[in-house]
Amino acid sequence: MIRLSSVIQSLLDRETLSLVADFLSLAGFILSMFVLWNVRKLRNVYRLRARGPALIKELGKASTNLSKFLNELADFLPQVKEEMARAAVKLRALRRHTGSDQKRTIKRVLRAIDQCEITVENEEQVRLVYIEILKITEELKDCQKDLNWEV
Amino acid sequence: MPTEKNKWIDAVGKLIALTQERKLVWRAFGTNTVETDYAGKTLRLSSDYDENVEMRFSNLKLVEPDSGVVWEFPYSEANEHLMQAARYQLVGVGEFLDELLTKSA
Repeated sequence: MIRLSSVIQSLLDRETLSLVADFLSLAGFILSMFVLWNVRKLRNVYRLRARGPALIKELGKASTNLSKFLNELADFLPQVKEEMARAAVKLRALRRHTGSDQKRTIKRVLRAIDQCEITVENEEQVRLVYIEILKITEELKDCQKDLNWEV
Repeated sequence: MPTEKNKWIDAVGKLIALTQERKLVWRAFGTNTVETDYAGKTLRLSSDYDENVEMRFSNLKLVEPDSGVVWEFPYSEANEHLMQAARYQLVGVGEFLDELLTKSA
């Protein structure tokens, strides 16, 4: 009985209490960070759910227009530039709402669009960028479908 | 990252480029199907109606000409673009536009 009370006594002394408080503060901080991270993730999921379909549809439209203009690139250079710019705007908007994997891919495609010189001589490069836009559109569509299974 | 799907998009993207550069010549096979030959195989692109979603989808198939065995490419939006490019070539949209715009009124 005396031993038990001495153990309780030692647990309740100031130093131990301080240690427990420190530990609990740290655990609370970690938990807060975890909750914050999850809230951020959830917010992005819902943003992509809300804005994603329209943005992906517009991105798809830009890639469809691009493919039509590529039938006669020499005649439609300004239109190709316009559609590339439109696709870049949609991708920038989508980047804010996607996960890290898609963010990386979008960043790569945006860099490709920015660096692409839209001229007849550079047709091969223009076509490569167009295919990259097609690929990211499909990837984002798949990502959107996956969201239906989350939360 | 669906790399496998990307591979198919790359392949269809190449077919779109070849079509638009007139290196791949398509022929009509009915109103909703077009065909071409490439590397000893026949490529068949057909616009099929899906009753479940009430929409048309372009399906690309690779056909072995001797046996008639058919293999279907996985679907992607690129198929629709290829169909548009093939129809653009078959209808002669480019030539039509040139003639329309150069002809004096």
